Amino acid sequence: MAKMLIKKHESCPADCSQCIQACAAARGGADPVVEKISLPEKGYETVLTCNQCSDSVCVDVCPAGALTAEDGKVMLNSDRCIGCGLCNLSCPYGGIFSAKSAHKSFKCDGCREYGSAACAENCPLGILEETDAAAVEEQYCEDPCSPGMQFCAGCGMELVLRMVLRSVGPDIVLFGAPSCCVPADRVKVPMYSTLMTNVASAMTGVSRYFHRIGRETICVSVVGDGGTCDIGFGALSAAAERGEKFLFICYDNEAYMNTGIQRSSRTPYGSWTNTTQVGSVGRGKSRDAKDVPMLIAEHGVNYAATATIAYPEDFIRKVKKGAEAAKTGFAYIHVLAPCPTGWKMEPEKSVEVTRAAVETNYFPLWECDKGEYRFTYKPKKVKNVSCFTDYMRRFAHLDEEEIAILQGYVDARYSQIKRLTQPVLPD
Amino acid sequence: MSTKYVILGAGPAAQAAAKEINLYDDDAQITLYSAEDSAPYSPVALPYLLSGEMKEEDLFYKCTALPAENISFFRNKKAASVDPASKTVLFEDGETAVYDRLLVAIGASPAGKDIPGIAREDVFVFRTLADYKALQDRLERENKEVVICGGGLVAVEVAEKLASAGCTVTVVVRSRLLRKYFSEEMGACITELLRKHGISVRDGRNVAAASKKDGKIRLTLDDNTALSADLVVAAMGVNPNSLDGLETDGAIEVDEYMRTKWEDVYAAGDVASVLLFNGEKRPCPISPEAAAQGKTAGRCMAGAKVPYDAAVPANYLRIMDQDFFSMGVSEGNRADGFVTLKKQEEDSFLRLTIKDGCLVGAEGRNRKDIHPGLLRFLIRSGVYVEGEKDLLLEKPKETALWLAEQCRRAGIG
Ligand SMILES: Cc1cc2nc3c(=O)[nH]c(=O)nc-3n(C[C@H](O)[C@H](O)[C@H](O)COP(=O)(O)OP(=O)(O)OC[C@H]3O[C@@H](n4cnc5c(N)ncnc54)[C@H](O)[C@@H]3O)c2cc1C
Repeated sequence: MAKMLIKKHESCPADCSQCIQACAAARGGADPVVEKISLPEKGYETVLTCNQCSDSVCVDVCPAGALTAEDGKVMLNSDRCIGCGLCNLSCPYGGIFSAKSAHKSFKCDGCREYGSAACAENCPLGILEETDAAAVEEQYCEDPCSPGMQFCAGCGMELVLRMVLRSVGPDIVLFGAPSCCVPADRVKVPMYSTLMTNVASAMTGVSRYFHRIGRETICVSVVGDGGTCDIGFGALSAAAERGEKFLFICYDNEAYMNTGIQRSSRTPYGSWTNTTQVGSVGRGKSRDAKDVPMLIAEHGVNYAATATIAYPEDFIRKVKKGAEAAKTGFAYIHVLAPCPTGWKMEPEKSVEVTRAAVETNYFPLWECDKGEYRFTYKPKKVKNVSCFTDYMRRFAHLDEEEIAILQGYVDARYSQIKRLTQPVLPD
Repeated sequence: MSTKYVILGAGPAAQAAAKEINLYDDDAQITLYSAEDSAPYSPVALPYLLSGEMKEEDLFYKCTALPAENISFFRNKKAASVDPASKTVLFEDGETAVYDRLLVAIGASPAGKDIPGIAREDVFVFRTLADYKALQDRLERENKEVVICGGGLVAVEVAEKLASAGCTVTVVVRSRLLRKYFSEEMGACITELLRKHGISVRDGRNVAAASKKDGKIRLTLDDNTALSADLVVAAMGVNPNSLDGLETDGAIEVDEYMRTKWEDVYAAGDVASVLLFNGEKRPCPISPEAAAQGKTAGRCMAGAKVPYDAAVPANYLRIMDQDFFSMGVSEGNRADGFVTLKKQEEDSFLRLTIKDGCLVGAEGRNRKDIHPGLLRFLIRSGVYVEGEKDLLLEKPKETALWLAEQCRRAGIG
């Protein structure tokens, strides 16, 4: 199984070396293959290890065949290494080490002997993290969309669409409403575009028909927050209450983006939109967002969850779980999908910003499986919500006081979910 | 219909290209032809055979990993000429091969084997496995007094390995050792180390005359001193190989996709003249660049266009348990705008060369703590280091990583 070590763009504490000690221990006392990098002059504290590149230069340049790519890892066979130094001269990431006494290179082997990555296990802040990349890798097999997608650069919804289609497979009918996601002519599966008001009703009809004729094709929606949480909410709530058997996926970009960035019920407190202007009177949206994933979960549905594109393995797992749950009842996944155009941010930061949303508890990752709530990811060190808002110019006007109000909403929402995840004690 | 890819050569450039074509084109029909009578290998490992650090059969280990299904390999097939008009290769044995796309990766050959006064069978070169075998065979039968003519990396490496294997070695070099690769002071340091190792280095000398008497070769240098030898190794640099029909003066010029001026003919490795990081256009005859060029060529031949980054010469050398590396410009004049920073410690050394605010060269001795690949990244990407150069000298590893991460976050490299 392909496991992947991820290093986050975050600063390590200057005096922490737990990963290094754990690495040395896991290697039976041999020199560690994680290195502490400390450059106080730049406030730069981090760790260095092999990236396990899939297209690795070191493997290419090794004349002895000592370096090989195996099962998502770059392995070094020390017996074959002749110590010619080419890997070290060529790795542009500094991921290979030169043995101090022997004429050999050495590097991280992903803790092959030890079993799981010792460095990540022992990182108190989750800066090094090991994830199971098998599901993510599988995603790259076939493109479920034809060339020529017409979305803005950095569109989070496009990633959502691809991940959903790849995770569910081809036996699917996709549902959409008028929105950015009108890719009917671009996806390689059947797609039914309805009105904003009645996506859930149309899905009810089609899924019931499939069940009646004994067909297993799954009905899945990819609908924006406007269609889900405002205009189509009545039909959605009704379908959830009836326990219809389909998977409703909402991609939430926190406003009506397709029509020119208007406020939705999911627009957060303080956010600029074209209908919550910032000026002499307005200061962005004056109210908090409606917690729709929680509302749907409280309908007593089979499965409800939140997800983001920054945690693809979590997202993919939830899609698969949701698809399974939809065989017997209603399943709902609420995905935070950035809109760089409407959020006024750099398009290449799309994934990063959703990670910040999770790490600040702005958008906690949880699931509710038949009434049982649990967090699927918990940040080890929760950051201030400004670490999320700083990415976007839609929040640029917020002063400290307003940030504090937003922080208050974030904390309240988080503790509400936290309460739900805890067992109820008798009085 | 599947595409016929013909690759001339089986060195690092050819191997990387074959692997890459196979990755990008499922129906590829790839054929490699080598002039040599052996399986594909990399010449980099040859010196390690001399010292016994590597066994001969291990030389071929890497290529057992070359996927074989779409790839055929023919040994002992030396190409004589190419006709780009009819897309045909003519081999020396009279056979021909027709290609859709051709990669010329025939490497380079030692320059000059002729030393007046000595019979050709007494002069050895060191480029191929056959060269190694011939030398080894002779060394096993005779006394081991060796004179090496030349002062490049091959000369130094062969000298060091032969001395380790018990030979008496003298190196005769016209100017100084490793002039093209290391600064003068590092060159002097390496020379001294070789001398300590028992190797006699005669720098600033040429062979003036030679003769053979009673089985011993006698060389007279231009300062009238005499040397005796059982055999002579000529290691005086390499020249790119050539083929009739692809006439050039010297190496074959390629663009950033390794395309030559002939349609569907590509070139990579020691035979190709490429763009260097400093704007020069010439071959960069080192194995990692050969592999990178082969990879670029393979990708482009299979239809995916990913350009080749500019080449940065880089070398690693180990002499008597000491490590040396150099990359980019080895030494530059202040008058030409080069700035040199040096850090000398008891047993180690680091030199950085900077021009117009960018790192253009680095060399080090016993600096295993540095990841030289990071410095090479900074050179290749033309990273502006002016404000951080002192920090880079003091804490090269940390600063290089910090600079590299800054660049990558900004989308460079
Ligand atoms: C002793 C030695 C030590 C070295 N050490 C290092 C080192 O430490 N680091 C480093 O970076 N570089 C080193 N090099 C240089 C490195 O080996 C070359 O840069 C690299 O091999 C170039 O690869 P290539 O594929 O272009 O050519 P080559 O490896 O030279 O391969 C050329 C291939 O073409 C074939 N061929 C030649 N002519 C024909 C023809 N007419 N028809 C068909 N086939 C033909 C040959 O048989 C061979 O298979 C060393 C070289 C030598 C000789």
